[in-house]
Amino acid sequence: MKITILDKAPEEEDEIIIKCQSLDDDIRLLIERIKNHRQKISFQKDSKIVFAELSEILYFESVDDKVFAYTTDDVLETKLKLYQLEEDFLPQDFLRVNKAVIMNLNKVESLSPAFGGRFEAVLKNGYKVIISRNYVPALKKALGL
Amino acid sequence: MKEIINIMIKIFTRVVTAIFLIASIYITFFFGTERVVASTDIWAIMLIGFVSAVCYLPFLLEINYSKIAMVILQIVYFLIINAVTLVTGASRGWFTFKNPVNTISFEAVIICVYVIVMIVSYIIDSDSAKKMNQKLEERNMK
Repeated sequence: MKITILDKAPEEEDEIIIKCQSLDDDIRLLIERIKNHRQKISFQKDSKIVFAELSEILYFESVDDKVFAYTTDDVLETKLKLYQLEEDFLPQDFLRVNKAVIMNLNKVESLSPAFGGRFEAVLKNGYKVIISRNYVPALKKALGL
Repeated sequence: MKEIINIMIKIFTRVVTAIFLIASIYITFFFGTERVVASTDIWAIMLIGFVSAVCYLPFLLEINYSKIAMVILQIVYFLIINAVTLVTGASRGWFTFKNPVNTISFEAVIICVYVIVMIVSYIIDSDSAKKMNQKLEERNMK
């Protein structure tokens, strides 16, 4: 893919133009990433509201009716439920991989088979997340298989 | 639900195929090449396949099992399949508990079938993992 960077006048807004023949999966993924670049979500931490970029989040996990987001060096709580995150907030890069976890596909280092048709995802910081058999077809689809 | 039934059909097919494969060797070894297999024996093999598929259901439910729970589940699953196969085998006259060598051989056959099915499943899953890792790599390079 050719990348061209053009100068612009100081008063003009930054703009990204995509020239393509058709909107294929690669282009859609690219658009998705550009759109979500630096997209932030609010969390609660020690009675304060803090913001974290979606791209920093490894996965969301529901534990005892509470939903936590895991980043490389922090655990943040959100008031949103997993299904709300899934339906309204998260881009396609985030995928439900079992009943309690939504994983950021961009943070997956590798996948390996686990017992009973499940898979284990090793994230870029070494965390391990189990992918239930029921969610494997969706993962394959998201990866273009 | 459709996905669960599909997986159960796959388990049934793998188990029945593995039993036929091992049974051919077992029958030839213990009873010779002239032994004729009755249709009731074939139904009994399919019953074992059916039980194997149905008992696999807990693995397919949307439950987050821990690693230990998963290992326990696998052991319980094996014990159920083992018991069903032993009872079916004894009642069909595939072996007799009176003959220890026969019983041990039959148990070895059960373990063999179980291991073959597990290996086949693992190879299939490994292949899926390999393809997914390849796609992940392509994705990360973009």
